[in-house]
Amino acid sequence: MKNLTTITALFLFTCFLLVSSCDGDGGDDDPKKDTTVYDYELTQAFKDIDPVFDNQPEDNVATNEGVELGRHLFYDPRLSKNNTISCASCHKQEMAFTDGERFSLGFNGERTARNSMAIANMRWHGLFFWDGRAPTLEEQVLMPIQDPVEMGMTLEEVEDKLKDIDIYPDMFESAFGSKEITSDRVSKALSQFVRSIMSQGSKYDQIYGLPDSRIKNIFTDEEYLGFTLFKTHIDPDYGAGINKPGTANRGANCGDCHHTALLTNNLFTSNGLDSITKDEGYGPISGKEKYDGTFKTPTLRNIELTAPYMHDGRFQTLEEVLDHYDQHVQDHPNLDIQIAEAGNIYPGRLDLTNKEKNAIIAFLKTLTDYDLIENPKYSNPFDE
Amino acid sequence: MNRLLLAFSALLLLVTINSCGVDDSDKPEPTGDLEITIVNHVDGKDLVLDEMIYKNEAGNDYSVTRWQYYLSNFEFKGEKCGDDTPEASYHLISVIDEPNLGGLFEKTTIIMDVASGCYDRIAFHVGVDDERRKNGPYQGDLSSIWNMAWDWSGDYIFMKFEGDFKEDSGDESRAIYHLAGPELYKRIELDFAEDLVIAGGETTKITIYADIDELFKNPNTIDFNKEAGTMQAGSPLANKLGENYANMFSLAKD
Repeated sequence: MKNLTTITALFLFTCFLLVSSCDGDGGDDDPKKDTTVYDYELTQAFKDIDPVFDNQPEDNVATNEGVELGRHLFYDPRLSKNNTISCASCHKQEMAFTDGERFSLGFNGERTARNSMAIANMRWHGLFFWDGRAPTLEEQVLMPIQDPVEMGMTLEEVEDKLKDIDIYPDMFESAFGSKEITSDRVSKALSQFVRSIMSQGSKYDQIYGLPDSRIKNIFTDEEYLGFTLFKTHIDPDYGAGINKPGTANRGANCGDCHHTALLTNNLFTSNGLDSITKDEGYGPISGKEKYDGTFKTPTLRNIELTAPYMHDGRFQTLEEVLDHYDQHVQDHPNLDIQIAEAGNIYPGRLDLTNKEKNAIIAFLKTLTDYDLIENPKYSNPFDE
Repeated sequence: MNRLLLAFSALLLLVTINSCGVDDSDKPEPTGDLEITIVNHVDGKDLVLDEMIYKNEAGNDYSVTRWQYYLSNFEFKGEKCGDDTPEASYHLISVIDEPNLGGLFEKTTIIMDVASGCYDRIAFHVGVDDERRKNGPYQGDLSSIWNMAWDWSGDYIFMKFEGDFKEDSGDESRAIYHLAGPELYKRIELDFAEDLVIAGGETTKITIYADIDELFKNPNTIDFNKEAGTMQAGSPLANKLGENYANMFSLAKD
C-alpha cells in the first residue's frame, strides 16, 4: 500500500512536469510571489507594433509593486549627491517629462551638454539618449545618477543611502521579494516606472488608423490640412511643377521620420541643423562615419509642451522648427536622405505657405496628451 | 507490484502522448511547413552592407546600405497533385543596419503552411496588394515601424534600395530607390527543377535567390549618374525599376 502511494505520487508529479513543460511560456519571467503584473492598458495601435521592437526584458516585467517603487525613486532627490536633484527635476510631468530648459541644471549648478528628452512609450524605443549611448533602458536609468554634472553619485553610495531611508527596505521587499537594496534592483524599478509612462490619450490617438473619411469628422479643417501635409511625402524630381501652393499635391515630409503610434522612426539621422557639426552625436558611439553628426529622431508626442527643441535646444518655438525645415536645412554629409531628396521645390525645400505652416502646428497640438500630464499614477508620490 | 509498475508505465505513456495536445498521430496531416530562405545576392556575390564593392551594368561602382522588400501572397502550382494557395500573407525581407535592433538585422526566412502535395511551380508577389493596402490591418511586418510606409494607411514602399555610388566625377553620392505604387505590385513565377514535395506534418526547406544587381539591369539599365533616386509612388523611374523585378528572383544560384 505504501508502494502504491509512492507510485501514485510519482505518477502525479510526472504528469505535473509533463503538463508544465508544454505551457510554452518558459516560466523564468513568471511574476514574483505576491506581485501583480502591471497592466499597460495598451490601445490597439501599440498592440500592433511588431514585438521585436518591445524592449521589456523577460527578467524585468513590470509589476504594480515595482512600478510604485520606481515612481518613488524617480521623484526622490536623495538619489543625488546633495539631495537636490531627482530624475523628475529634468523630467517634469506637466511638461511631458521635459524641463523647459535649453540645458538642464545639475546638482552643483552646472548645465548638461544636451536638452532633456521627453519620456513616453519608451517600451518601444531602441537606443537611449540623443546619442544612443545606452543600449537598454535598464542601463539608461542609472547613467544620470552617476553623471558628474547631473546627480553625481556612485552606485555604492545610492545603495547605502537608500538602505537608511525608512520606506525603501519594505518597498524593495514588496517588489523583489527581499529587503535587499542593490543597484540592479534600483535600475529594474526605475525602468519599470519609466516604461509604465504611456502616452496614448491624445486627439491624434482618436484618429490613428481610421480612414480619412472618419478623420475629417474628428479633426477641424485646419488640423486635417496639417495632418495631410505632415504625412505626405513629396519628391521634387517627380513632382516638379505640380506641387505649387494651392494645389492638392503638397507635402511637408514630417511623417517619413515621425510615424506610427510612437511618432518616431527610432533611427539616428542628421536633420541638417549645421553643415559642419561639433557635437557628433551617435557617430563616436557607433564608431561609424555615416553616423557622425546624427541624433536620435525624437518622438513628437506632446511636442507643444516640450520646448525648447532639438538636441541642443536651439529653437524656442514650433514656428522656428518649421522655418528650419522649410528654408534652412544645411547640407551636412550625413543629412537624412528623405530630407535631402524631398521638397515641394527642388532642391529639397518645402516652401510652405503661412496657412500651411499654421495648419501643421495645429496638427502638432493634437499630439498633446492631457491624461499624461494629469494622471496621478505618474505624479510625485511624496506630494500625496 | 509488477502489475502496479505496468499500470504506471501505461498511464505515463498515455499522459506523454496527450500532454502536448498531439493525439491524432494516426491521421495523415493535410499540410506541412515550408521554410523558404531568401538569399540576397549582388551579381552573384554575397550581400555585405556598406562596402563599395559592386559594379552595375552601367559601370557604376556602388554599395548597399539598406535593403528591404515585401514578398506576399504565395501560390503553389502542380500539374500532377493540384494547386494550393495558402491564405494571404505578407513578408518583409530585411537586410539593414538597425541600431535599435542591435546593428546588422537580417530577416530572410518565410515559414508557411502548404497543403501536402507535389508542385512544379511557385508564384509570389513583390509588394502589397490593394485590398490589404486599403483596408489593413497594418500589423507585424506591415507595421510602419519598419520604415516601409509613407503614412500609416497602407501607402507602402514595396522595395527599398539605399546605397552609395561613385559619380563620374569621382565623388561619392547616394543612390536611393523607394519603389511603390499599385502598378508595381507584380507576380513572379518560378519553375522548380524537380517537383517540390510537401509531406504532411513535415518541414521542407527551399531557397529563393534575389539578385539586387538585376534591379538595375534588365530590361532597363539604370545609370546612377543620370537617375540616382526616386521616392514617389508611380514615378517613371519607379516604373522602370518595377519592370526589372521579374528577373531578380531565381530558384538556383546563378
